[in-house]
Amino acid sequence: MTGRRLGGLAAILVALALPSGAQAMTVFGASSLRDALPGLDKSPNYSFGASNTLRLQIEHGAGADLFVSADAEQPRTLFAEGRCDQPVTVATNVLALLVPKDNPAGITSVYSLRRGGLRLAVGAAGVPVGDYTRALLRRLRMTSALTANTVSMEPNVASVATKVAFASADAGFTYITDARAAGDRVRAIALPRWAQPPVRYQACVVRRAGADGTAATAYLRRLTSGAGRSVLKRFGFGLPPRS
Amino acid sequence: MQAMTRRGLARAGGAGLLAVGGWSSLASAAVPKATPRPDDDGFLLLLVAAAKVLSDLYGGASPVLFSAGERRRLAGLERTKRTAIRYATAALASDAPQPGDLASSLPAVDIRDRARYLGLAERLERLTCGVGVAAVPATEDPNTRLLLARLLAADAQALAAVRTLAGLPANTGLLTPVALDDAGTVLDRYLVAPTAPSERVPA
Repeated sequence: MTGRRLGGLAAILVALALPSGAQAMTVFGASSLRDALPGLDKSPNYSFGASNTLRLQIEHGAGADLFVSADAEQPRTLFAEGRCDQPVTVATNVLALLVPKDNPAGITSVYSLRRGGLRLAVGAAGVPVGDYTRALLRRLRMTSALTANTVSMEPNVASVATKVAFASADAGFTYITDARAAGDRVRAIALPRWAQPPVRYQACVVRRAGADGTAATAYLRRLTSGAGRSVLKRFGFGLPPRS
Repeated sequence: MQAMTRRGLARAGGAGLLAVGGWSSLASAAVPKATPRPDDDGFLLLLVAAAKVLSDLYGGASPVLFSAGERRRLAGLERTKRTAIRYATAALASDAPQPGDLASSLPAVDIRDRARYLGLAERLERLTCGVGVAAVPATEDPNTRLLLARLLAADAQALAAVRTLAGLPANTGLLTPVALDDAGTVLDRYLVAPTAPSERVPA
């Protein structure tokens, strides 16, 4: 066997011997983080969606290494099931009422939804933004807004923002960060501060056979570091106190 | 405000009279366990936020503006507000605001002299009482209604105390209900969410 052939064989053997962790790690992230997480690091494979859907996928063995959820419930469920490490809070957010830029329905505050007959986009029940929206309306004693208006139940927050941006809905509840992401196609109406449900993003390193825990832990450490917090802040997220 | 039924009006009147009468102090009352229905949460949350603002206001009373005796009375009011927060928070259970969710933000201009300070305190106490008067008839869970009535009684006593400090008659007459929407708009001026992102969207 020539040295060249030996070298080739060695390269193949090395490639076969490399652990799966040598591939880019996979981050499952809430839809509302679709701009911020790649802003921190473009190298991982990202899968964005509703946090409850991502949690279900992880429970069914999807190949996630890190899970960043728009609420605390989904990671805590996985933690209780032994499918991820102890979750940590990485960011905060607030809800906003989005209306199309020209606001054809003349919505001036959340209380405008009481008049009924509007097209309203909200997250479906179980989707974090949908649950936060319901909590907010309950606190405002305005749950009737979900029956007095024509309501479309969206699978994730990005769908709500898109519906409003293209004026397929007169208004929709999203996070304030989605209002920023939608740019000048929408206007955000602030919601009563006292009634805002606490929106906390929690992340956890997924435990499964073949998971790249080392890379996921490093990513999470970076996300909670000064650099990570700066990126989150740049994309409009709030920050939890440093632990 | 939404239309009230006759029963609701009777309850509101009762609540107002209860408040004017100045019921037993909140701290000494044994309150049965409240289990608020979903729509009851709003009243409790708003009252927690208002009590937080008022407790910080009373706790920050300056010795320049008030005598030692007056500050002792204000400290007593602060304790009453803290008790109210404790009761309402217990009733809200997992829906209660966590430490750091909300903080008070009292504009310096509103507390720079005694008259402004007491004026703000009276406005906020009156607002709190108004919410309580609206809340009692509208609350579904009986024990939550009882808790709200007791909070209202304590708030009415606090209002009377503030008015006395301001040199006004303690008696406020029958308190009128204040809608949650209106109360929230006023209260939001004195609240900040320390860990939340900015609500402003760049143009």
